[in-house]
This record gives sequence, structure tokens and C-alpha cells, in this order.
Amino acid sequence: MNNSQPPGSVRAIWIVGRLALRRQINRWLTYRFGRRTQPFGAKRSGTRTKSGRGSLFGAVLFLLMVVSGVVVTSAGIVRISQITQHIRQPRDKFVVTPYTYASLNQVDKALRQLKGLKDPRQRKRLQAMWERDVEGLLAGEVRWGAYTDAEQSVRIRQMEEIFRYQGVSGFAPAQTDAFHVSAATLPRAPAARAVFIGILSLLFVLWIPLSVSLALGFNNKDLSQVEWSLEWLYIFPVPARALFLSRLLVYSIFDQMVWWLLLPFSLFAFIAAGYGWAAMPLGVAATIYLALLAGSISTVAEVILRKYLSLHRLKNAQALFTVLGTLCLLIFYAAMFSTPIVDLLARIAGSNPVLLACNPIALALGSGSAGLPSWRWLGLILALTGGVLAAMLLATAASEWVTADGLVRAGGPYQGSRQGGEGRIYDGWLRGIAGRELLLLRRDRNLLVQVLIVPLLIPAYYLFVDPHLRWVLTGNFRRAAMVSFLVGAYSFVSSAIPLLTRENKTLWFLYSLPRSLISILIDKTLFWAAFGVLYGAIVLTLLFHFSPNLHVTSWISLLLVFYGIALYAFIASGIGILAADVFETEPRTQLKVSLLYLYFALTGMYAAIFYSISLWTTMAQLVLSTLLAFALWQKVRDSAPYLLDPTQWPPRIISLADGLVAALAFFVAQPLFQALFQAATTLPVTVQITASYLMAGLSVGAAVLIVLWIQNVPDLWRQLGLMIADKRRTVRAAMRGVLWGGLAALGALAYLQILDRFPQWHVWKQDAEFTSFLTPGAQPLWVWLLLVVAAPVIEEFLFRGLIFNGLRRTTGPIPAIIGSAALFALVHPPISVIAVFGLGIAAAISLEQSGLLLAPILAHAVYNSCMLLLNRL
Amino acid sequence: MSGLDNRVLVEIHGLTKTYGSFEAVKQLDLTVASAQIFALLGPNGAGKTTTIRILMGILAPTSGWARIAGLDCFKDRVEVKRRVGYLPDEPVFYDYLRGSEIIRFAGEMHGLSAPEIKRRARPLVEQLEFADALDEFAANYSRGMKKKLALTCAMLHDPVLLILDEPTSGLDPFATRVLHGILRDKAAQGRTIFFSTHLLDQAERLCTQLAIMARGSLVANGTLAELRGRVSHDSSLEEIFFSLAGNSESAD
Repeated sequence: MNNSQPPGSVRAIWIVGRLALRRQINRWLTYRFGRRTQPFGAKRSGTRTKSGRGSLFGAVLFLLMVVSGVVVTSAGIVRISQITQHIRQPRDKFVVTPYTYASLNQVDKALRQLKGLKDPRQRKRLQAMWERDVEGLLAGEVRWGAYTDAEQSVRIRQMEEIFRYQGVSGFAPAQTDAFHVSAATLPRAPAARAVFIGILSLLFVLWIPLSVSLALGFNNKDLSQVEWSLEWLYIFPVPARALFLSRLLVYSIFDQMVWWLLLPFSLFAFIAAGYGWAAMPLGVAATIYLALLAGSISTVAEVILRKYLSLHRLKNAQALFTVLGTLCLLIFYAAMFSTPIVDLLARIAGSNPVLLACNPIALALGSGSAGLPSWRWLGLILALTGGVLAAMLLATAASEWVTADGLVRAGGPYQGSRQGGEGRIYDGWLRGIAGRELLLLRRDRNLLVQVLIVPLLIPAYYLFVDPHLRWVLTGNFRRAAMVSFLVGAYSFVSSAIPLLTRENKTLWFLYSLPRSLISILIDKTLFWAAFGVLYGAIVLTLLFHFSPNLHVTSWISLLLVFYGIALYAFIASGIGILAADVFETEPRTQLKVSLLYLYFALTGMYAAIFYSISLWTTMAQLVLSTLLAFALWQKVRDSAPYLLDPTQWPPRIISLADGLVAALAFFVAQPLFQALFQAATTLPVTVQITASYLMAGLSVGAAVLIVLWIQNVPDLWRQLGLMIADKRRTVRAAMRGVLWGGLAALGALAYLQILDRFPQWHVWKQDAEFTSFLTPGAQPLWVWLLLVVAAPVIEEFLFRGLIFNGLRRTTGPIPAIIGSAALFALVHPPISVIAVFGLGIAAAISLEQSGLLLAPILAHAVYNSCMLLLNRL
Repeated sequence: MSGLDNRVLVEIHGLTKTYGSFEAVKQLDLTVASAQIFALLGPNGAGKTTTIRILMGILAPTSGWARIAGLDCFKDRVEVKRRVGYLPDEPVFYDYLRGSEIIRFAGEMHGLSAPEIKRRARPLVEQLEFADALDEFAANYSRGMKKKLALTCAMLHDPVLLILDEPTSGLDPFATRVLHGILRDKAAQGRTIFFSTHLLDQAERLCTQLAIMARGSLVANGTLAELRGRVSHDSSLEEIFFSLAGNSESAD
């Protein structure tokens, strides 16, 4: 018999709260910093060395997310203030983004300088060039605005007119000053001020359903699990009251969402109300007040739901909360940027003065800098504390009352009703993996809602809230295409991204089947890809159905929608699989939120494809996305056999991902070095470019080699093509390189000849000549050094040594040749894309044939020399 | 070297698995002939489950190799699994799927047709007596029920080798007796059973060959009679176990 006394209520709350905090801290500590190493003296108990893949990158993304959340909140409150004061942009001028305005300003200046030029031909040429520039700028500006196709072209024409006659003075930059909340945010006029305060108070109230839905819906897998965590706490010799109270705290002030969603809003609201530094304690107090209120409701609701619903009903209830929470979150943020919603909230605030009068936060906000008499402050504080304490007591008492005859109704796992089935084996029409996924989708309402309903909420919401937008959406094909793509891609957030984590502990089952895991994963991804494509098609059909004047203006866009959705299914599942931590038991931490952020950024990049003006950027986006998907799946394929092994990594082989990362690093490093040279030296531009190119190339190349060497890539030099077994073949490789380089140069010459024949393509040529930084005759030695030595060596190492070889490892020669050449062509100016694509193919063929990197380097050098000699790069 | 002796089904050679600096399995050498009931004994943490998971290709060996029917357990894992049925220590099943649906899924993944799955599953389900639970969601099963379901899935494709991790833990005495009967029948039909346990009397009654592991190493291997010979002739398996595994425990 244990003689020690069980802890009292207060101590129990403290212990449970500390446990929650500890879990939170442990979760943050799983972000590892530095190189993957064997754990220091790993003991049996913690053989999780592969987990915690969050790394520094994840931490940075998380920080970014928090910062952008804060910025959005701040900008949103400013916007509400503007809307309530009816601040509008100037009407007599075209309002454009600050970027466009600055660019137009620059062009305006350049055009005025042109007038001083003597040579009329050159003047005309340059003028035409600048005008095309303006055309592009305005087209880009209008494309993002809310206009139909017809409106767009009218508007562009109007803007061009204005620019021709008035120059930049016909335009105004969009207002973006007053970006930060300050005391000046509070509207001066008393009426507007009352509305502003009313809206903020309503948003505070909105936090309560939002927080409750977040706590009960979404990812609260614990609630509907057979082993509910509160059941475990229930076995300890602690009063139930204390347990409920601790639960309440875990759902309120121990919840991180409170601190990075509610607190910024609360602080900014009090700053905007004119409290200055006093906003800090007030904001924190309001946050705690609301969090505790919401936590009380969550606790009671959780206990009641768990007690009276069977496990599967509970999951369906959670699905409902997911929808509710998403709606609240949407209103919370959309309120800050949508005029109709602000108007609606203003009306609610105006018609329910009692709601505001009884809301302590509204009272505190409304009193503002004018200050309340101290006795009213005291009253307010008393009301706040009293209200919170009452809510908490009520919540614990209610929970206790509900659970007076036991925490749950049925014991253990037998919460469903057992039927006397006759043991038949189910027959369905879809077999295997697809059949199982479909069955899960049908049964799991939470999954169903997240896959089917949530992606629709955002566009549907805008459709019904903003009538003008609806008209725009249905009057503009590009926008409709983009929305269908985004809906399809968004559905993968709950279907393809958690592809592996949904398996979680059942993964052993897949491993015991006579199929490779990778083929099962591909099947699953294909299923969801088909599902997403179908879903996107339905959305697009609906958009067409409701808008008689919507026409397919570009079949390519249509194709891009479906290709994009299918491709992003693979990107989503690739990201999800690589980031999955199958040893993690808590569902919420199995996938890092930062990855969703990454995925959204990628989908946003692809969505821009529907607005891109040039074929070139479209191609660039397509090639990059496709290669990215490929690189991800190459990694998946490598790691699939090792997923359940807690310590073993797949053998390190050069992969496409290495090449993509190295190429990215190079193209980031090169301008950085150049900026450095520009700032620190007075060298001629050509020398600067050559030197920065060399520096960037050498440092990235060295870094790649060192990393691969440290990671013990077997047979590294041969894999890269830096060495071959048979030394005698070196000469033949060199000859091959020269031959293929010559062929590529001939091809390029033919291409330029063809361009010359068609006057309508001269535009391209002029562009190319202008954008080329290499003014002929300047520092010829450096130009030669750059183009014949540095560029071939560095680019061939990146594009052939890493990217081609990385691709070649898992594909046949033809896809590898085309893929590497396409990426290679993309990093060159648009004019030379086709010629450089030819060079890329020639160089890749020479490497494929010889196995030595020397061959493509020579091919590249020969090609560049030919172009230089003909002075037409 | 495999394939020379057709009777050798499971071959483990120099198998080592380390987790960080912890050696879960050290230099394990083991062969199991076909049509045997082989028991792998050992105290908790002896490396039994690690060995079994390596056999299933779930873990990659740090060094050494394991082969089943001449196929490497990690490299040829897909081929291996066509011949093997597996029961984990604690089977976990998909949420929202009924027992019957999981059986069908397992059968389909082994390439069986729907009528074939029904034909094969029915006797197993009836023998193990869980037909009444088939229409329920498997995630809600009790532990023993989950084992019965996993066992049905493992035997559906009539594998030449059954790898069972603690097969009877969580089973009631009736089901245990039924399972023992099934395993004996399988062995009589020429199938091989490789199971881990720490129930000594179960091993004593059932197995034809056994090995004892302690702290990742093999401390004894052979038939029960051979092991008896090493200790004393009329000793029970319990005495053998304590004298062999116990020595190794205290030696470290």
C-alpha cells in the first residue's frame, strides 16, 4: 500500500498543465539543427533517429507563417478602419500597384530622355521597345484585377491612351501607407468610430465559436479514438473537477493557436483603440479572458459529445465542427478585407447594442484613450474576472454532472453496437487500393468534408458574398480555370498530403503484402489524382453552367488545369510522404504545418500560370513543376523500403533533387556575388559578371561535392561523370563533345536564319539583343573566359553532371535528355530558348554516349565559341 | 549456397541490427527447415521482434542477411511476401473498415478472386469463431479479435511460411487451442511456422525446433531433446530457458 497522499486539485491541475506544456516544448524541440547524424549514445527507448525531420527549414517556415499572420491582422484592422471611414482611392486617376507605378515612372523618364536622341532609327527602335514594356506592365496589372476579358482589353487600351498623353501623372499608386496599426487607425468621426469599435468587438466574439470548433473539429483525433486521453487521466487518484479544469486550461491558455492567432488581433485592436502601451496588458487580458471562455465551452462540449455519441457519430460531429471552424476562420479574416462583410458586421453591431454593452471587451475598447473613470475600470475588471470564473466553474460543474454516472457509457472499445452478422465477405465494384480509399472516403465523414466541402468553401464564399466578383469569375475564363485548379489542388491537402500518415500504424499491413510499397503509394496517389481531376472538372462545369457568357478562350489553359491538378496530386503526396513521421503517435504532429505552407506556395506558383503573359513563363512553370514532382518521387522511391526502419537511411545516390537544389543555389548566389562586386569594386560590368559567375559556380560546385562526399555517396566521381574506368576513352569522349557542339551550333545558326526570314519575329530578336549584357567589344578576354570556360564547366556540372545523371538514374535516356535540356533552356533568355534547348540535347547525348562530363563541357564550349565568333549569342 | 538444400526454408547469417549504438540483434546465425514448427524464445528485449521484422523486410539489416526460400528478405521483399503470412504482435487495422472488408482487401492484394477469398476465409473465420464480428469496424475490435482477424489475413493465401509474433497473446484459451490445432495441421501439410513467444509451455507442447535469444544473441538452438542434452535430461523447458538465457542476462 502506498502511503503517500494523492495530489490536491490545484497540484493536479498544475501537473496536467505542465504535461501539456512539456508536450508542446518537446514538439518544438524536435526541430533539429544541423546535419543528420547518429544520435549520441542512443538507447533502445528512443530509437527514433529518423524522425524530427522538421529541421531548421521547418522552423523558419513556421516563423514566416506567424509573421505573415501578424502582418495580415495588422493590415486587416487598418483596412476595417478605412472601410468604416469610406476612404476610397482617387477616382480621376488609374490606381495601380506601387510596383507598376514605379515602373511606369521609370519608363516615363526614359521616354523623355529618348527625345534627345539624334539617330531617328535608333530612337524609334528604343521607343517601340519601351512601349512594349508598358504594354506588358499594364497587361500584368489588369490581369490580376477583377475584370472580365472584355473589360480587361478596354481598360488596357484606356490606360495606354492616358499614358501616351499624360505620362505617369495619369496614374496613382494604391494606398499602402498606413500599413501598421497605430492610434491614428481609430476613425475620428464619432459615428465611424462607434462602427469600427463595434466590428472589432464582434470579431472578438467570433473567436469563441472559432476556438471551440478548432478544439473539437479538425485534427482533434484524440476525441474519437478508442482510448480517449481523458480516460487515462481518469485512472489517477485526483478529483474529476481538477481534471476537467486542467482540460479547460489545456484548451485555452496552453493552446498555441491562442497565442499566435488571437493575441496579435487582440493587441492590435487595443492599439487601434488608442491605448498605446497599455494595449499590452489589456490585449493579453482580453486574450486570456476569451480563451478561458472558449476553453470552458470546449471542455463541456467534449465531455457531452464523448458521453452521448458513439465513436462514429462523434467523428461525424467533428466533421461538422471542421466546417464551422473553417467558416469562422474565413469570416474572421475576410471581414478585414471584404467591404460587404464589414457592412454586414456594422449592421449587426448597430442593431444589437445590448450585445456590445454586455461584452466587457467592447466596453474596454469603446472607452478608448478618453479613459474611463477609475470606478468603472474597477467594475470592468470585476466583471471580467467574475465572468471568467463563473464560466469555468459552470463548465467543470456541468462536466461533473454529466459524468456523474461514469465518464463514458460503454466500456472500452465496444462503443459500437455488435450485430449478429452472418460473416459474409463484402462485395464492391472497386477493388484493391482504389476500392479501399473510396470506401474510407464514404465512411469517414471528416475526411469527406475536408476533401469535398472545405476546398469549395473559399471560392463559394466569395461567390456569394461579393456579387461583383461572381460576375468576374464567371465572365473570365482564365479566372474560372484558376479557381478549378485551386479547388482540385486544395482537395489534396486532406487527401494526398496525408497519404502515408493516414496509414500510420496500419503500415505493417501494407508491408506484409506481396507488392512493393512504392507501387501501392503510386496507386493511392493516382486514385486521388483522378478524384481531384474529376472534382476540378465538376467545378469548371458548374462555373460554365451558371454563366452563359463564359467561353473557353484557350484550350491550353483547359489542359493546364487538368495536367496541373494531376501533377499536384503527386507533388502533394510526395511532400506528404517525405515529411511523414510514421513513428509519431500524435496525428497532429505527424505532418508539419509548415509543409502545408510550402504546398500552398507551390500551388500559388502554378496558379499564376493562368495569368502568365508569355509562353516562356508558362513553359518555365510547367517544366519546373514537373521536375519537382519527379524529384520528390525519386526520393520517395528511395526511402519507401526504409519507412518503418527507425534508424536506417536509404543508400545515398545522386538524385534530381540534388541538381535542382544546386541549380537554385547557383542562380541565387550569382547575383549576390555580383551585387557584392558592384558595391565593393569599380570593375567593368563584364568582369564583374564573369568573376561573380566563377565565384558562385565554384562555391556551389565545391559545396555540392563536399556534401555528397560527406554523405558517402558510393562511386561519386564516376556517378558524376568526372571519371571513367577506361582512360583510353577520354579522347573519344572529347571528340564526341566537339562533334555534338558543332552540330548544336549549326542548328542554332539555322534557327537564327529562320528568324530573319519572318519580320514578325524581329521583335524577339531585338529583345534578345537588348537584354544581352554583353556589349560586343567590351573586355573580349573576359567575355571569352566567361562563355568558353566558366559557363561550360559550371553549367555542365549542374545540368548534366547532377540533373541529367540524377534523372537518368530512374528513367530512360530520352526523358532524361529532354528533361535536363528543357530546364537548361529555361534559364536562358527567351530568344535563345530553342537554340539552347538544342545545345542541351546535344550535350546530354554526348554525356550519355561517353559517360564523361568532359564531352558536354567541350560541346558547350564549342557552341559558345561559334556563337561568339559570329557575334550572335 | 541456398537452394542446395531444399529443406532449408529460413536462413539467417551474421545478422546484426543496431539502433544507434544499441545492438538489438548481434551476429545471428539460424536456419529453419521446412515443415517445422519453430519457436523463437527469449525474454523481453531479446531481439525477437526485430528479427521477425527483418524477416518481413520491414527493417533493413545493418549487416548480414536473412533469406526465405533463397530470396533476400530485404531486396526481394515482394517475392518473399508471396510465400509468407505475417501476424504482428499488435495488429492495428484501418479505421472505418469492417473485418470482412479487410479480409477482402488482403485477399485482393494477394491476387485472389472474390469467390476464392470467400471460400478460403470461411473455414478460418469459423474455426476461430469470430464470424459475428465480421460486420463490425475492425478498429473497435478487442485485442484477441484483432489477432484473429490478422491471422485470417495471414493464412488467406496459404503461405509456405507463417511468421507469427506472439501469436496467442490476447487470445482466450479456446482460441489458443484452436490456433494450436491449425498450426499443427499446417505443419503436417508441409508448411513451416516461425513464431516467437515467451510462453514456455506453449513452445514445449508445440514446437519441433526452437532457439533461445537473449540480449540480441542466440544462446541455444536445436530440438527440445538436443537442448535437454545440454542441461540435464529430464529438465523442463523452463529450467533450460533459465539456465541458458539467465546466464547470458547476468553475464553482461
